[in-house]
Amino acid sequence: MKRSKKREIELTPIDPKIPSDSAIYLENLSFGYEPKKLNIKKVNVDIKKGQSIAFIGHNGSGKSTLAKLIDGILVQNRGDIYIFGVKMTDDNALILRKDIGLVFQNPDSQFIGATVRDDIAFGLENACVDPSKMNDIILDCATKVGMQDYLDAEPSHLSGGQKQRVAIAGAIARNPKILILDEAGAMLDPKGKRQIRNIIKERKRENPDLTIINITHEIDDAYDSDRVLVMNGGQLILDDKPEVVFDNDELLRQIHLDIPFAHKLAKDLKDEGLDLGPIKNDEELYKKLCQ
Amino acid sequence: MYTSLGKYQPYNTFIHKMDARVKLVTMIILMVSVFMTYSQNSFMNLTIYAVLFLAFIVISMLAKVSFLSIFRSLAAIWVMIIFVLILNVFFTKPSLPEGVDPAPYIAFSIGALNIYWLSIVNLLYVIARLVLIIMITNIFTSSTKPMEMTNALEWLLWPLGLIRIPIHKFAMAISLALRFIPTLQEETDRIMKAQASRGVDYKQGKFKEKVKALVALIIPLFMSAFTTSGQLADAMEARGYDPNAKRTRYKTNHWGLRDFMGCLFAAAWVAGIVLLCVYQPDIYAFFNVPLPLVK
Amino acid sequence: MSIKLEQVNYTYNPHRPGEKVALRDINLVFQDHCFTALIGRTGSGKSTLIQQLNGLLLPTHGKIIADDYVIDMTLVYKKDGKVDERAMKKKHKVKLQNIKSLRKKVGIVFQFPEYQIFEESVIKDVSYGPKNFGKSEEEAIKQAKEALTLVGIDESYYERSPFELSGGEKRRVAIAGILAMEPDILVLDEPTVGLDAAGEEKLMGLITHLYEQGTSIILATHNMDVVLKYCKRAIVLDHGKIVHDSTPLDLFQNSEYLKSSSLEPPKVFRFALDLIQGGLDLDLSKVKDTKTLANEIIRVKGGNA
Repeated sequence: MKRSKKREIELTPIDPKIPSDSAIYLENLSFGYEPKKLNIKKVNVDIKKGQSIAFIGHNGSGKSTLAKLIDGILVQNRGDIYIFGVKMTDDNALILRKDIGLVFQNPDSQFIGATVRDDIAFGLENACVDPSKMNDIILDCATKVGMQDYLDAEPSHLSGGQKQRVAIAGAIARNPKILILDEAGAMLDPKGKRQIRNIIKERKRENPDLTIINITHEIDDAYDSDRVLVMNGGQLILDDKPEVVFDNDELLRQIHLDIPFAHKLAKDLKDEGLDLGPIKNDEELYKKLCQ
Repeated sequence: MYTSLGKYQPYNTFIHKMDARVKLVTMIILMVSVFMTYSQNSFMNLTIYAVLFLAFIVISMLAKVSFLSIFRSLAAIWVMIIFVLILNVFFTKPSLPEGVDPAPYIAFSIGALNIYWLSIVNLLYVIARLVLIIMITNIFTSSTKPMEMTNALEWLLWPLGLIRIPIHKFAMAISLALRFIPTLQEETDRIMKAQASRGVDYKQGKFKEKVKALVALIIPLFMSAFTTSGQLADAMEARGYDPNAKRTRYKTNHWGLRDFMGCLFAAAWVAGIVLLCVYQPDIYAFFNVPLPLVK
Repeated sequence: MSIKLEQVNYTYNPHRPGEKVALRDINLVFQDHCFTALIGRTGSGKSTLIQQLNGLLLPTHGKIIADDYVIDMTLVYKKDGKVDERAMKKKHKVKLQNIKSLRKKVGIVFQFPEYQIFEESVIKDVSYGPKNFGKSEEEAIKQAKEALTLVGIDESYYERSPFELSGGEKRRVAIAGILAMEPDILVLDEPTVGLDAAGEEKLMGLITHLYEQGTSIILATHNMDVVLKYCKRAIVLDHGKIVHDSTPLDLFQNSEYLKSSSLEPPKVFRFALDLIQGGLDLDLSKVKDTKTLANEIIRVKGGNA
């Protein structure tokens, strides 16, 4: 189900019941690609402005679907989405989307332009940016992702990691207040993943108000965030600080998720008869073992 | 050196850097000039074609396009064209009035078969035009990126927008298709290799096996193309694309001296054609060069 | 079965624009019953090397000997000592005889193998390979069933359309498509990319099982955890050259080399190194994953107590 493309734009006013510091507010959100089978089941969550969030969950748990719902690419069956307090409707979805940058997983299929330059320009053209200002924005965004020397390169001459960096440049060129990364590093080698991670950290450092949603398999990414949301079978089953979430070893294991290294080793030690009590991170484990 | 006809060659000449719109219009003007008749005297026309040929060679060299490659890449087609044309030479006759002696119109005879000057001239006309047209299009496509070509075409066709033909949507579709040709090629290569590892032989084998091999290639290729196009649509939407909304256009090229020169060249060319057509100069008549009769 | 590469070079688009040297003077032997990791960043030549192993790409020059199958593209020289380009061209034009016999023995699972699926039912797709290699319908189905059992796809799936399956299931079906050919050497290009932790462990379990049954395994991967835990030998490629060739243990202990490359040992290994520095007398060769590290810690701690 896709949004109908209505041209007349009427912004719904900010809903008073939504907290003023909310960036994304999901209320009883349900969605299914097929009517009888729900991929998202009654999700309620309030993501605050400037938070950096990690979404984790195994393949098919509904994380990507949720990202597309928030960006208004898919339309929910039931429930509501509020972006900065404004309820999303068919009429204003295109407007609300201006505040959201979404980067997908596949490097090849999201490279739209013929060259790096054209690809970053694509979003600017859509936003009706004055063409005379585009060159500066393009250079600025390309520099932020370290692709300034490749402006005229074509996608077939770029590596997957480089293409993903261009995709991020394309997303931030539109100056979004919310940046969603849908497993942006999943198809890259470790170096590519590291670069993406650093770029995101740098964005956040430069612009603390930026709300970041990182959909990921990487435990390290999740550990870096303010808050971790765990999805399973279309439901939100955990929502807390990383330390707290990763304390639920058993639950995470049950839903086939990896757990942080320190927790894993502590558990293996416990299984072998050495109980060190609760462990938060590597340093703590190191200290306990080397005393 | 390896070149394939008409494929973009990434050089950095001033012709490559010239605005595609200037190049497109100039190309059309040059093409028109190839089809003009400049003189009643066929030999004068052919002489002008020879001059055009030299001019196009100069342009080819400026754009670093190998004009010899035209002849090489079209070798197979040339054989056929020449075969047909020679047949034509043997079987055309000038329509002479009753009682006129055909002797001066005949170039030579092979046994009872007369070969007329007219057929030879006609043959030269066709070959000259064909060569010139291929040369000029080859220069254009070799020096202009497909995407720029699309944009230039979109610009040229803007009047169609007035009658509500959505030119920009077609242009977007064409640009995306061009963008994904290399991706599809890579994908094809990948699937062929994967199937070859499963014992499919794309080079040898019986007809029935080859059909099966093709199915094993095409179905995965379609599946992957569908997936890619779905993801592409999402990515375009996510970056705010709305086919019905107004968009601005990003241009990499700034109008420069070279574009001005290109326009000047095109204008001079038009003036030259017009002058030639009006005055119809005939150097052969001027110098009283005896020519064979053609009619 | 062993494969030997002698002075293998490969260049994409030789003598053309876009010419790119992908492999330089590779000398390498994959012994019978090996479990080898090929490591290297994107574009280091891993994929090109893999494709040499079953003749999908022929060396620009060099020689590949796979038991009795020989691909001989060694350089021909003229009298004046220069390379005889015409003779080389001629060599490349000769069609390989009976290349299928090599491809049957060396099975390659490409990255994202799910894209090679095309038949209308799972069982048909998996039996496609064996049939191509001349097995009868019955034999092919029998081998397909065995392969599907190995990858954990049960009978209820046999008649289903492979396109309806989930991503992980599709990948397992695609891998079964190669296993059904019963290759002597199984080559896998990044088999764990895109899988979650559970999927990865399951797949690596399957590969280890095949190794134990006698299949040689060659694994191209970025995943150092996998290299440490499962592989017996680690070969590092960079810019088309072999820059390192040892056991994973030696590779990860070679801190000087690691510093100059962009490789990072797996977390469990780094942590074990920290512990050793912190005074625990661990035996690094025993450390493969958190479980084995835990065992080592217990052994050392137990000894202390």
